[in-house]
Amino acid sequence: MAYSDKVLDHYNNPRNVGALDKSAKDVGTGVVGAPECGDVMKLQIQVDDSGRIVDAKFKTYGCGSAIASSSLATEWLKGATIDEAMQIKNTQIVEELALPPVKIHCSVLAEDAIKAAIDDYRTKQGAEAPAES
Amino acid sequence: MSNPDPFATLGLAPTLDLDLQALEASYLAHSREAHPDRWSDAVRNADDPAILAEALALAASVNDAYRVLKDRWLRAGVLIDRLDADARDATRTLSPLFLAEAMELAESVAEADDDGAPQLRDAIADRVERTFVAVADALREGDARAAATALHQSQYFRKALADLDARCLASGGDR
Repeated sequence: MAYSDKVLDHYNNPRNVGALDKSAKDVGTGVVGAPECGDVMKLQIQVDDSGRIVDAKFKTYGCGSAIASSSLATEWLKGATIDEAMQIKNTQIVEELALPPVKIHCSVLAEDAIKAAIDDYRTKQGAEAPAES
Repeated sequence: MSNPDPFATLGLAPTLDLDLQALEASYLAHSREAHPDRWSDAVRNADDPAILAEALALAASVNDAYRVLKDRWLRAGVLIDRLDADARDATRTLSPLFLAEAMELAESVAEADDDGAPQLRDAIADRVERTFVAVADALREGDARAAATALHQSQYFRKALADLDARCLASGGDR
């Protein structure tokens, strides 16, 4: 199966690979997995006082599409507010990377990882449970 | 695409401890019967395309049943579905604790050097086997959710093992 140029670009030059201090209060960590393939993805965000994501890192063990999806996600997350980050949909990732149907679950994984990281951040901040969203 | 019941297709009793020789024998018998070369003239020359399609689907389902049943993990999946068709979907999301462990395992595979690889391989292979035992135990107790969870977990261990083997192969290991 042929990967799109954008997938290959992210795969060969993944952005924001690495880790943030997961015990820090301003860092949210999400680890998600896809049981159909055994891929695991860790995505972390660092959020400032105004609710803006100042840094994002990821580590993904999986196929090229899973790596590209999470790499792209960190690019989009940096500079976004938490609310904007909550709006990121896997379909946008599919579109941007031109993922074929069999790789859509990779983009779902990235969306799940974003949500998990935000959940973790919110839990750490305490009480501020999302009333609506 | 998915077979309703591969055990029934091949006339076998549904069990995880499948006798592989019996599977082989049953597959050969059924595929001989369903093979297009054995179709009666009535089927082969049928004017109705639906008759042909049905005969073809039967032959394909025999092949598919064999493919599924000879793999112990796929076989376990079928048995879980028989117990509770929703179990696998309902248990897809594994605990954060387990995922963190899976992440660590993937990291250790990625960082393993030639010296450490054999030991790591043994450790992961052991996890794979123990997870299979967990699937089998849960199935025996009729606990579809527990079996499905263990089956999902096995996917991460099996991937780690495959990744490690692929790396050793690439670096000229003996496996």
